[in-house]
Amino acid sequence: MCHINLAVEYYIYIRKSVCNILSKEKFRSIIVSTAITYLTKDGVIMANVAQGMPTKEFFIDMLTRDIELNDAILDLLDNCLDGVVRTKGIEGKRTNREYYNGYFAEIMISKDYFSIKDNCGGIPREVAENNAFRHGRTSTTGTGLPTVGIYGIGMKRAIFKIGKAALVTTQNDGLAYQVRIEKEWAANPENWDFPIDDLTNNMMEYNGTIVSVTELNAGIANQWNTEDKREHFIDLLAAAIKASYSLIIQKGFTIRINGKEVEALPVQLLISSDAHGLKPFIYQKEYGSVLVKLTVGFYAPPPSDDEIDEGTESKRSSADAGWTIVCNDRVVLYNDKSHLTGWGEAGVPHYHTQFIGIKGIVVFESNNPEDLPMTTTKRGIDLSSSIYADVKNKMREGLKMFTNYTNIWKGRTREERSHSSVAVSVPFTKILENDQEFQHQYGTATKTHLGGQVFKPDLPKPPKDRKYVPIRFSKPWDDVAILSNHFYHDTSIEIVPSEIGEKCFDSMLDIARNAGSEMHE
Amino acid sequence: MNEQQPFYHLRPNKFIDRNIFVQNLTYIKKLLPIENYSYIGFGSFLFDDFKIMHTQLDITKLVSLECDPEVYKRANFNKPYNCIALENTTSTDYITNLSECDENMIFWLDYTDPREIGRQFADFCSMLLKMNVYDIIRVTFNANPSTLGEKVDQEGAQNIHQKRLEKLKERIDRYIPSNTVPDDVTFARYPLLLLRCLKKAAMSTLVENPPYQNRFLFPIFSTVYKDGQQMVTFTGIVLDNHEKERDIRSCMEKCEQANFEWDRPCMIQIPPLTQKEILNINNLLPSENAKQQIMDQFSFSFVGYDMIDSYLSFYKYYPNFSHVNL
Repeated sequence: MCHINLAVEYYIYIRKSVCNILSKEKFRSIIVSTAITYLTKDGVIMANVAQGMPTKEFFIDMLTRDIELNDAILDLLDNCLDGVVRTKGIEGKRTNREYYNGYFAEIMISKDYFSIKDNCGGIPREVAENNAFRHGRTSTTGTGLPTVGIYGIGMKRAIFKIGKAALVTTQNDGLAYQVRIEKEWAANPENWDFPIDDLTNNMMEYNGTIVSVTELNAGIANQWNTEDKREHFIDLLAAAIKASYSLIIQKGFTIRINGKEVEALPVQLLISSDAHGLKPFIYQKEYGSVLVKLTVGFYAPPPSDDEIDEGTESKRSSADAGWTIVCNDRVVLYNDKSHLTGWGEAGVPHYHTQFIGIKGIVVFESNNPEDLPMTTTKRGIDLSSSIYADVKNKMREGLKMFTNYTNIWKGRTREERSHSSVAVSVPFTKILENDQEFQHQYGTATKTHLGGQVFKPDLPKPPKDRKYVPIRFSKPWDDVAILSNHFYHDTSIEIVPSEIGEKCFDSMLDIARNAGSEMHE
Repeated sequence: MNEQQPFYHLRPNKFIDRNIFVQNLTYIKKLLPIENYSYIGFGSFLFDDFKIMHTQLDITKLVSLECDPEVYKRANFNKPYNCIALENTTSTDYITNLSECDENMIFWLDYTDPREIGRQFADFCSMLLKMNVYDIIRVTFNANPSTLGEKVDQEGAQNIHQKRLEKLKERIDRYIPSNTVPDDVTFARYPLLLLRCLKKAAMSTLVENPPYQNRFLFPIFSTVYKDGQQMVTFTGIVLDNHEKERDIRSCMEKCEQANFEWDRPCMIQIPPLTQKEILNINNLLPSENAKQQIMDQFSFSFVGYDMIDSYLSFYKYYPNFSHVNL
């Protein structure tokens, strides 16, 4: 019966965390009916049941193989943020611009050690006993709070990604304890539990958690075993944190890596107070429990033809363009320029350097995180979400306005700059706020259509008095230099070739016109 | 937008195509208040479609798009009715900046430039996303495969088809069905391929996503005709419930061209006939064995019996151009 109990125990674990195919009773009856033992001729006890239980090595491998180290660490940060939401509750989550004020997470990375310490409320004891350390979360543990950690696998996954042993010290509501993951745990095939040690209550100065990982996995140790490698890793980690948590940092959360604070990189868009100036597209709608807000526009003026020609050598980088998607404050997709966010679909062109100045952000918020359109890894969009499919239509509509804008001004950058250079950069949070004063100042009041609020800018258009055609050609560099010297009498000034081309055209046109008028005379 | 085709209004097959469209709308008018619709099209400076929309269907909200500043000025001079608004803009710009409204519209994207088919498909998709239930969209493309590359001397047919297909892929790759083969780019089959591309574009743009998005494009009819360049035209209506297909089918029951299929166009290919021939043939019509009667009655044969078939199908719409002194 020992085997049967183990199998049933394992079934319950699998059923709750992975799938829901058989009823418990049915599974038990299968196990009981098949686990009949019998004796062979040699007197050896055999069982007519094939072992289906996973090994821990297999489990750990499955858990950690598809996640990047940076992403695993971001999972730990997600736990910190969810801790804040559990502590503070839902009030002010959407409206309070300093919701995370006073909360922090500190990451320490050394050659043989990783830790993350936070003051985000700690893990409630019953959660630790029943859920937090379980591999997967039961379906009944939804919190009804706007958290991102709905799948409960993040902490274990991060720990095992980094190392073999860990100590999770936590204090929740003054109650302190620690959970030990010994390095021998993985080698023991039977016991899946982790021991909990009680600590003196209120021994920590705040309610929070410290996750420290030792016995680093070889691949990780190899990334951190010299000062230079650590510095490089930390630089990349900080960039990943900026990409994912800028909004949260802006709302008051502090993240430090080895003592150094990670600064926010706020998304800003250009906006003009001129009625027909450059402004972003804005859309907002509630889909059941999910509130969606989006804005798209230029964060930098559209590039000139010369800048487009410079391509990747350009001072400006395509890395800053594209769509960012946020679910409950957490960035799940960053500066995407693929079909995931509507590029190259339904009338929208594929991404091209010409669109380097375009940026958009979509914010999804819900008290039911399972309604949010994100994948289980929290680092991707769930394309099967019908809410996302509907929002994507609006993303494409807004995006198209700005790709079209760069098209209609193509070749007339200098004239265009008279519009984009007078626009100012404003954080997207300001644009999406229902701040009537701001809306009045910049003329961004929305209109209602089909249950959504929409603002469509009346973007500047080039004058249509005459028909324009582009002229493009290449000439030897040294010949261009001769003309540059001819026009500007100074070879030290860096003049863009198109300017010299235009000068030639204008000069020749003058000559032709004068010749024409002389003939008439 | 058709400034390079000054005798646009004299093209007989186009004339018939336009009249079939109006005839279709007349049937739909039994179900929907077409007279309250807006009509948006490319009137150029001749406004043939606009005239017919106003006089035959009582539409009074008409918008003509013209991107060329010079043609725009000429169009302003030639505008036949006060209720036609002119916009000096491209269709792309117009559609991109079009705000949602609750009014219904008929939008005819009557394109001519084959090199811009990528932008034309993009316009079609962008427009679909903005259309309301019962809006009608009509789109015309150049369907001449030689616009995808001329045949070089001695070049094998298979080779040129392959090259043309590659060219089409450069322009509208994402809308080309995956089972497309080089033979789909022959003169006869290229219009059908474009219709299938249009279907794919519509299906991947208006994706039914209940409860948030239920709209889809229901095909009504399509035509292929040639007055010089071979053209293909598709007409469809936006619906949000497949039950409504039945209403459309039943109000258009008597309409011969409406087959509600994406890629089974009717071919408009009328023969040049003299007035005397027309009067004599028309005297026999309608009749089930008209073709035999024509063969019996005339002592000479008409060039191309396919064309006689086409005449029998469209004799009611056959244009009658005469010289008049104004």
